[in-house]
Amino acid sequence: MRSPRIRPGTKADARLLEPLMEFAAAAVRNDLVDPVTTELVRLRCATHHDCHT
Amino acid sequence: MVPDDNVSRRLAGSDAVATLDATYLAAWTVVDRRLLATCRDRIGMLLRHEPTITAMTETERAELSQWATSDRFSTLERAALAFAEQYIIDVSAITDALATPLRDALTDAGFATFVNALLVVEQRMTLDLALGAVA
Repeated sequence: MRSPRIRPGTKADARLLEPLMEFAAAAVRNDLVDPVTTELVRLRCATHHDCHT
Repeated sequence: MVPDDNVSRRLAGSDAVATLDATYLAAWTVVDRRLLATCRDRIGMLLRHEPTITAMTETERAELSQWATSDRFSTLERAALAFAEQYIIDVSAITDALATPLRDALTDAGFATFVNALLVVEQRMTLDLALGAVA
């Protein structure tokens, strides 16, 4: 059984969240990865984020 | 300290690895180091990450394999280990029964921070394993 685990608006510690977002942006800027690998990574990330879109 | 691994060696010079290093260091700053290290070691065992496994003693490996029944680990450590194991096995199948005890112990923000730190540790190990497998 699953339900929202944290209150809306709750954020992780900014000292971690900020470099994590910078890493995500740096990874996205890397356009040397082929489309198939990029899609595999996208799907892997979607799993991590429990994203079903 | 950032590990000297396939990530740092194979991706040296990229801005992505520079930010990844900064993220890794931050994870150890914002989360209880002992708790995160315990989960890191268990993740390393599950992923067969040899650098992590060989850094542990045989006793540590044996104790961590039996964390669920061992009195060596606190209630918080056991909650974190149960969560970390399911995170590795299937992150989308984490149940309320696994998440709630850890959230209650860490607070909402602490729980969110712990999960992000867990991601960073697992991500580094997975990248290391993947890059080590590439000729």
